[in-house]
Amino acid sequence: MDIPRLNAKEAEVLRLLIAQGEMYGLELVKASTSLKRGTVYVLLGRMAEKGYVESRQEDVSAGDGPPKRLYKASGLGIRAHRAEEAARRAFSGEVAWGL
Amino acid sequence: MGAMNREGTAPGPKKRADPPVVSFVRWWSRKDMARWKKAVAHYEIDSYDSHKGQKPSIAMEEDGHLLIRQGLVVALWRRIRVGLPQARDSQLHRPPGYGLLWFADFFYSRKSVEECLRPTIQDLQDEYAEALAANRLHKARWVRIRGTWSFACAAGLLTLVSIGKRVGKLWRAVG
Repeated sequence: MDIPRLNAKEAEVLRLLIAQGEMYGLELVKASTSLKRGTVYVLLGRMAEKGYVESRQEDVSAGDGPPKRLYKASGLGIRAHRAEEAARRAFSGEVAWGL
Repeated sequence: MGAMNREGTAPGPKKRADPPVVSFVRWWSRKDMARWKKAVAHYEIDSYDSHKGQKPSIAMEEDGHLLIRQGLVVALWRRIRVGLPQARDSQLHRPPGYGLLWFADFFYSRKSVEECLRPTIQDLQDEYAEALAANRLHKARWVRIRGTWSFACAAGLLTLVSIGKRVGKLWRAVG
């Protein structure tokens, strides 16, 4: 079985998207300390290719200015994040047990 | 009744002092203008002489450097003058990121532009408009610089990812 692996930034993006629902890139950057303006959209693009996030164009009438691209965590992304969290907890528990 | 000056007329709107960087560039630009005109004249004469088979003089090379420097000053001046009173009152400006979008449209695929580069530019424009709406001109300039840097990072990363994918594909094809 191919286990999906998340790096730290992907895990951070998924954590924010699961916690706050749909967000666009600048909101993610503002909500996080590790994400940068220059790399967030490339990261989101790669995550969309892997199937961790889904994106859609904002409705034109929804806000001021040009429509933004909104991102939300997909089912695969949510499961991958849960697996990552569980693995991290198990690993930290084992480390604590070993100490 | 409003305050009057010595002539008995109402004072005009108070002139706003330029920020130090703008004053410096204005001073530098004015200082070089006379030399620049002289350099252009020299350049024309030297170009004329070079038709006769003469080597370009050292003065001509120095003048060439001066022309480049003057060009840089003008470019810098155009970049930072956004928000100055005369510029705000009398000129229409293209939105920030207009040139970057043109660059992206020209050099990158439609998918890369739509998913990565256009949102980066939209964020720049949003933040820029917010800063201008709050009358924070220095922040607007800073947002513009930061947005341009973000765009450069995104474009550089996309290029690296694209090169990596191509190398990987080639590697798999060979192996």
